[in-house]
Amino acid sequence: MLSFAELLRQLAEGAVGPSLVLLIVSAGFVVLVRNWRLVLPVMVLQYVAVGLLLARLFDPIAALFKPMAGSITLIVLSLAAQRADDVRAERGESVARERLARPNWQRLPAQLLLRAVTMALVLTAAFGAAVRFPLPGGTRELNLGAYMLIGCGLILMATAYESLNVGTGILMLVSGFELAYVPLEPSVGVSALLALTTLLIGLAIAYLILADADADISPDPRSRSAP
Amino acid sequence: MIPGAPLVVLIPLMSGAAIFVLRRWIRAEAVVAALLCLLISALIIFVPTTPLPIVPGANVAISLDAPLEVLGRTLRVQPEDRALLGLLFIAAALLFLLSWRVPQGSLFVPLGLMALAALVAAPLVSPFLYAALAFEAAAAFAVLMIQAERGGERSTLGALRYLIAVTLAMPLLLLAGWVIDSASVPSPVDAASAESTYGAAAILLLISFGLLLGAIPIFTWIHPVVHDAPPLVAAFLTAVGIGAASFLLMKLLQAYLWLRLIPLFSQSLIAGGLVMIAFGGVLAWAQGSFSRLLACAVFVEVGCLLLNLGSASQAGAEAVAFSLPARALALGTFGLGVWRLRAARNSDDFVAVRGLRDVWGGLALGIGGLSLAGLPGTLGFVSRWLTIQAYGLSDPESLALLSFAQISIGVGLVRGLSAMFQQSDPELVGDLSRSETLDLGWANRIPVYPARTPATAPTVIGIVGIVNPLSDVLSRLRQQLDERLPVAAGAVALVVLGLWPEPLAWLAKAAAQHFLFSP
Repeated sequence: MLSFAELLRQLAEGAVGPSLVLLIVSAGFVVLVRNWRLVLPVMVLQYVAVGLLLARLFDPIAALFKPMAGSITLIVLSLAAQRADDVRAERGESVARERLARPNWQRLPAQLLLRAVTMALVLTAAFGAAVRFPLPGGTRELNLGAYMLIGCGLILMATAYESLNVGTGILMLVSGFELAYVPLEPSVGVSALLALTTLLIGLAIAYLILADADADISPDPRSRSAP
Repeated sequence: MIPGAPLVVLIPLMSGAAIFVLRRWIRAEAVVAALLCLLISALIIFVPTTPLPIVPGANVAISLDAPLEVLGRTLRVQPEDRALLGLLFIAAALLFLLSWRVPQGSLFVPLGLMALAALVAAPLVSPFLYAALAFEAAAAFAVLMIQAERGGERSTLGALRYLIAVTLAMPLLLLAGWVIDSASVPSPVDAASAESTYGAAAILLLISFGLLLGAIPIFTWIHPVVHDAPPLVAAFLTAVGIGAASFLLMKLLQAYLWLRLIPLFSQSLIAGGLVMIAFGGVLAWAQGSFSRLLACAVFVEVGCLLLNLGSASQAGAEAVAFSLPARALALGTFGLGVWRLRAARNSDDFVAVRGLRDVWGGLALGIGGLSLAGLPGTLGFVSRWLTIQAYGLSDPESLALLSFAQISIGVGLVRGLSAMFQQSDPELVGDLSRSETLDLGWANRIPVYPARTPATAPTVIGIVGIVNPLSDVLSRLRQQLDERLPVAAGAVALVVLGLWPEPLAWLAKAAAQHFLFSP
């Protein structure tokens, strides 16, 4: 009878190709689309793909830290984004659901085209880097995944200004780095601490998402009751 | 045997969490936090190296330098860490004390303690790989402190920039650790072999520490953080945060001979320091707000820090250690002045504060700013003097650059103060007197002081009912005392310690005595 860890390992070994495709597609999608209702579910899939790729390198149970921490972080982010949208809706501003239902066809093609070109450049650079500068200890697909996530993360951090988009960029950068670093030091300790780091970053970003929307973020009831 | 290292980290962490939960009932949280930091500092510095029994009769003792294994890494307070950690706690305590009655956001004290716990953990980890994760954890706490309770589109720039800078530094530090661990030549004896074996690690360390210290690229996070964050939060990050990073770099320089053998490393530190000083100097005199002036002063401080580290000498280590509390006190006192301006005029721009004539604000800005400018008779002068001694008097161009930068800060300060004490702009005063309260999130909506008499007659809005004249006078006196005490304490401390710096100098010497930088 297969143990859970063995099952995970077999799944990870058999799903390398699909995991890599999922990783690349999800990274591209997050760069192209800036609507949290679409982006955050796709990020969950991305964390699953990262977890599957990591499961080949060390203890598969420890590799679960990443998708678990990522999913918790994304839940927190979605709660914050929903609250921020509620506040914006009260002020009569455009929110994610509306933008999804009624896309702005005048601005959208230009924005998408620009991001698609950027994305194509990142994809090319990631392919080139994976071939020309292979990371020590990593396989080719791992290198490609790592470079892809790091590149997309940097692009988001550099071009977006909303906390949610910058935050997803930071989270992608951390995931990409983890893919690059785990072959060098396949330690459960590092993996656990990186998962903890993901959670802390997620909490900080959730706070900033609320601040972006000017929602009441004071945790102190005294300051709320002030004149 | 209880190892001391986890206590040094866990006590501030748990205290921060406790204050966070109990802050509704703890009124003097800043004083509690400051006393706790001072107590930990005294224990770290003065507790003997022999195990200290905590329960008489029972075999339970605390050993400060006993190691603790955590996830394959060692956490340990080594002899050279004691004074450095003590200084970190003292700097944090000074800033907590200055924040008493000067609200910096309801999360400053609890999250400050938690960030401090992460920052002190960084130099204790051996090898230093996990220090990167400690800095990242500290950054996550710092983001909440920087943002405080402010909101609005684009209000998160400073917090995001800081988070991005530290997040970019983290992988580079971890990779540098891996390069060092996997090096084929364990202890090179000449520059060529050191460079060929550890060149990549040296470059990774340079970039990662450059990001942490705000030196690479210039203007990444220092300017937006100082502009966006409550002033004492900015002082905390630029004093304690940068201090912890500089102590870790100093320890690495002491531990790794190859880092001193590679000329690129020390030359880059010195070049980076000079560039920071030049930028700070060129920009400071022309700034139009006190927070931007503060950011330029931080550039010069970081520049001096890099010069001291680049000298890789015991005198440099002493200057690095001394500069930490000096920087905390000067930035904190200056920050109090900025806070008063923002509370009164919702801005610290020279134009906005024209005619404010707040004597106590002016005192805080004046003494704090002059200390940052290194004026003789202030604590900042002693710090600069130690830098000049460490860097050497043989490079007159660099010393002239440093002097120019300090004069430039002084000119910027005089411009700001002269605007503040100029005739007020009637239109602006009219606008301000019409407003009721200024929404300064972090300042818990402070009542606005009328522009003509800003600090002498605070107008508390919304007082309803009959007021007992005596209690009114007493409460007004108390409020004035509360507002002025931190300013007076900061200014007096800067001058007294400038004239009699022996206590801090003793600590700095104790910290530096272990850093001989010899093989």
